[in-house]
Amino acid sequence: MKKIAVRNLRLCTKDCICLYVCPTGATDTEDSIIDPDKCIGCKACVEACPSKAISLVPLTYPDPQKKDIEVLVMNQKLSSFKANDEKIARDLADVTDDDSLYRLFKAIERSSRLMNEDIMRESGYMLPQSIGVRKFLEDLVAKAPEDFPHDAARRLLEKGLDNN
Amino acid sequence: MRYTCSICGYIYDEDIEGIPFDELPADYRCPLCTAPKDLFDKQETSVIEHQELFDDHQMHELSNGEIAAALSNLARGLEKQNKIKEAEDMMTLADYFTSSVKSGDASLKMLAESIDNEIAAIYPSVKDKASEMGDRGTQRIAVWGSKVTSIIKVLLDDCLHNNGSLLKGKKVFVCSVCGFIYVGDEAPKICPVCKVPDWKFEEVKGR
Repeated sequence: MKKIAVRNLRLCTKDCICLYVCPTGATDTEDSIIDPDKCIGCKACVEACPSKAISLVPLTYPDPQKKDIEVLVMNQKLSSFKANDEKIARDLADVTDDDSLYRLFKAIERSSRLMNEDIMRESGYMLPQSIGVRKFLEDLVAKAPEDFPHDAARRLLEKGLDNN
Repeated sequence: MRYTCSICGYIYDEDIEGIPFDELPADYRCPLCTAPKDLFDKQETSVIEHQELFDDHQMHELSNGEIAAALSNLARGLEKQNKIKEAEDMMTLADYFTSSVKSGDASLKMLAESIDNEIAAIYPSVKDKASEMGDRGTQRIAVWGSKVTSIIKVLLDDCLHNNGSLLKGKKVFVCSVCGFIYVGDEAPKICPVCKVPDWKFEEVKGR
């Protein structure tokens, strides 16, 4: 399985040893993102980095774990509550005059979304490149009205989500 | 006797502290995560019974709010893979569905009731089912989510009964990983729920 190096900018301490050891120059870029077209996955930078800021990721991801239908039903129930909480909190934030309450409602709106994202991650929507996600997007596009951002969806389905 | 904070795991040991837990003031709060006294469990905890909520075992069609969460989660996944353009496209789709959610009746009481229901019935059912099926990923979201939701309940109850006294003069932070809400002067060094470092917290600013 072909792998390429990715750099975690939060950990990178700019010791630049990766520049010395890279045989293709992939690690030396103006935006600090290791060039995926140049990287050959040799692991030299991963081993040399003193801050452990570089790791190898596969270009092709394995199928996500199968989920039991009964768990999915539960997760969906929970998800519908979180979506509703998010909506109520957003509406309450819109109408309140009180600054403390505004910040609390905004926090609950954000928190509900974060928890719902996590629920979705455990409900078959974990890996963007998975077949299930592709079907989900195709289904949304098929039902979508005209004002739907069709260009963005088309770019994702044509190339953006390839698992190569 | 030892009492454990159900949010972050902090242990109040009566033998060490010298003051019986029951005699602590009613406004005693966890020194690590600020959870109130009633969120501490005595170490021999009893299992709370809850009713089976789900008669309907069919999957329903996702609502716009649920679709938005699925899509923004995928956008975050793409961002983590350093696929920035793809993440932006996915977020565009998510935002479309977020703005398609209709506003309606909204009250503090409705929100508090929804949160109460989740804590009393939904989370226990998710935990039970995930544990029965050996699904540890779903157990994780139930453990994290029920803690985060318990803290939301504390903050909402404070708004309903104490005029939001906990919020006065304090900043509000949200953990960008698990959603834990922290009210205080600065973000905690590590998230009490999911244990990520303080820079993963975002401050919620006023208007």
